Amino acid sequence: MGLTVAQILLLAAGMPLLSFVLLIFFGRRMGYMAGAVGTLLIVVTLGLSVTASIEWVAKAEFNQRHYVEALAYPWITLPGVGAENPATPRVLANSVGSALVMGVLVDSLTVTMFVMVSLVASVVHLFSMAYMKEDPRYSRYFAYLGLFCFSMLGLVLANSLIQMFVFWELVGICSYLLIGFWFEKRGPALASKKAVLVNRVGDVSFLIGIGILLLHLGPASLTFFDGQGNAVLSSAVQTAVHQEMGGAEGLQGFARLLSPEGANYLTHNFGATFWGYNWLTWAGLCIFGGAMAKSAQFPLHVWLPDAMEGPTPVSALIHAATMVAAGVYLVARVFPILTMDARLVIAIIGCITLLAGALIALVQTDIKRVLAYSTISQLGYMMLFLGSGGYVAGLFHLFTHAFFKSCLFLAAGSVIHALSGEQDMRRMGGLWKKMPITAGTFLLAVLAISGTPYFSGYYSKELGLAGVYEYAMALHQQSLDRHLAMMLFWVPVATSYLTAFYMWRCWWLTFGGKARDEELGEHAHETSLMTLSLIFLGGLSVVAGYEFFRVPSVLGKSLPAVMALGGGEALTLSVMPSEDVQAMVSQWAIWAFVAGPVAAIGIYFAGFGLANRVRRLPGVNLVYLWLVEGMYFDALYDGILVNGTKAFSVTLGFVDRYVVDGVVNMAGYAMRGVSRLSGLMDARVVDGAVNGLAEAARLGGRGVLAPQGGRIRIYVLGLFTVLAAVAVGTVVYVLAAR
Amino acid sequence: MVLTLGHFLMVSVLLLAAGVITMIVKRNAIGILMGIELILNAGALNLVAFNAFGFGGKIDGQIFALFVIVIAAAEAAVALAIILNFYNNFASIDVEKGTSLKG
Repeated sequence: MGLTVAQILLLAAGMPLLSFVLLIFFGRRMGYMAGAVGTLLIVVTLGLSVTASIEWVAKAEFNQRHYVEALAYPWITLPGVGAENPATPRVLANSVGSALVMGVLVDSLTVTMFVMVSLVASVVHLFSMAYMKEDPRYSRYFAYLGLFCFSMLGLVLANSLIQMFVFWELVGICSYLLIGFWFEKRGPALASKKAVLVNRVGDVSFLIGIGILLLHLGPASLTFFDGQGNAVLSSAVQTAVHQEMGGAEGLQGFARLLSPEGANYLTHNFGATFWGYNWLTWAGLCIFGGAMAKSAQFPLHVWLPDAMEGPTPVSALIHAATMVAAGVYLVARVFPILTMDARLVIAIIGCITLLAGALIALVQTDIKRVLAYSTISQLGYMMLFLGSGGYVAGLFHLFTHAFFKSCLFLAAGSVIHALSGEQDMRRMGGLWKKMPITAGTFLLAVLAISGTPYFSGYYSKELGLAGVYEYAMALHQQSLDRHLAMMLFWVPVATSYLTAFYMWRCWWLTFGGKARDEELGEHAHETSLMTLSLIFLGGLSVVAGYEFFRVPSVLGKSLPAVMALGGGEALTLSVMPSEDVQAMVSQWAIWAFVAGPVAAIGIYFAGFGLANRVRRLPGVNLVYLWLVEGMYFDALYDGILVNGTKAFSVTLGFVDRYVVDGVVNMAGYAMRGVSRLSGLMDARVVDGAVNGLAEAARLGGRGVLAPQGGRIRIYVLGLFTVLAAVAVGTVVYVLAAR
Repeated sequence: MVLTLGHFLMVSVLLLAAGVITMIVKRNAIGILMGIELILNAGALNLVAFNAFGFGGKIDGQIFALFVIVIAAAEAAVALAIILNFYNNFASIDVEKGTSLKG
């Protein structure tokens, strides 16, 4: 076939859209065929993505450092915005002028994401066919899944920030629809509302970030790459910074802003660059704000645990593997324009998130909430890796995480399905006898997430931690407090032990030991479609990190080198830690895969007995309560934001009732007094004359009563018919007068 | 594509038409209320569009649009109260049921 990779991927993204359109209009008539249609179309997408990826890797140009296939078309010209902006690169200005750009961007990152998304989506479709079989809105469920897959693939293909924002909102609305899929119940309805509201905070922040860039760079520069494959956004930023700083100093300043050596610049000028008005840093941080909400970073993570109210396959697809990864993807896309200050903030937020998520996951007893907090923690890892300059490591972890976490969620879904909706691990236990395949695949994913050697999670986590180590060392060699800087490394290392512990705890409480509720698990069984999906994902969560797939090296090709202006060496933006550092860091984190299961099975061997005794100890009980309530974030937001808004409205209502109404009532009383006087006059003198008139009017009124049926819609119809007739008449008159 | 006043007016006309059709076709009182909101928004869009293309630099149109939004909110509150009373009287929000406006 003579299709280019971009065309194949466009076709692939169109398939789920087709599935959405078919199912939303004809789905109800299709019955159970609806699931098969949706699954078939997404499998076609998978086939196309894999074809595209093979073609991409085979390309001759791939041997170059960086290669892009991009299309960029002018989309909307904003009257008067940034038309004459000098920072707009001349190459692009010739082809699109000062328009916002819409297009297609294909580089190694896009291709990798396509394969990952369509792979997980296919498996989730397959799984859902069995999981949602009894649901009355079966076809609508698959329609929503199709819309989501289309939006996610569109987000990955988008070639400008503004186009990305459109798809960003689309995946948000799909998440809302699917969290609240069972909207008759109170829990899902509230959870979907919460997800939208929290994401709104991030979306506004994202939009502000786009606004800052628009103001400084002009509309066309929001494009990532132009039609010839030249980087637009990053070179526009470079030009603008160069102009602001001027000359050789500007060149150096830019180099320092973006390169790892910039740690020096950062720490010496921390006050000057960050808290002073540095638009580039603020733009980066505002865009990261959008990623914070979507990827559930502290303190905007509160919606993700509640999002577990949706159907479990949806949690696997949207809230574990793909949509929550969109934030990480966004940070990776704008990676070349993030200043060192912005990156430091991203690393710190990621570090806090990964610790908080893991701590809360330690004490949860709802199987899906454990997985949700674990997702938050893993997303924190990705952000930390990206923030510390490990571009490849962050995305590699995103890739491997998608497989093992969706495997975990689908296995949990299989358990929940078998126990007719029970999610509480306190009533599970001993299920491995009844569901051996589910238990086995869950175990594979647990091994992967806890960093067991030769499982996928091990490779990505070790690579990332080594990068973080080098970053922390670089920070502490500068004037930043030594211990504070090394925290960025030690916290994730310690958390990898927590991760292994809580995941093994989750596995043991669900599948291991003796059944705590014999009655509940009595009829538990597995269905063939579900186990098929699980085996597939379980296998992938073992092998996804292997050298054979070359994922890290492929991902590495997607980061453009920034050429220093006026010649000079190209700057490398990402850190690729050396083998020595990897080996050394490995010693610290690797033992989690032994310590985790030993501790977890040791404590929970006979159920909750020992754990319950520990948590009642003085001091420990307070910490337990704090963690089990999710660190009281919900209470805090409820108290300050929700109740604050309510109190404000009550105050306004009070003012309205007593102050405004009082004045109005007073005027009313006065008026009534005056009216009484004039009423006397009226009754005697005026009425006589009026009554005569009224008699006449009543006779006339009876005549026009006929069309007045009291039907308000008829009135509206009449009203607008006359209005339209007058408008048409006017136009005809004016035309005739010419 | 360069956005001109015509594009905005076209969107506005479509909105108005959608609103009017909604008002005529819907029997549900809340549906009619939605139609009214569409019509109001069509008006607000006109104000903003004329301002942007006719009076560059001024924001009179935007301010008017803000008023429209506020009035729309007030109108929704009043209309919902009416619908509530309608329901109390007719045990339904089907406007065809209430024909006592005649005469």
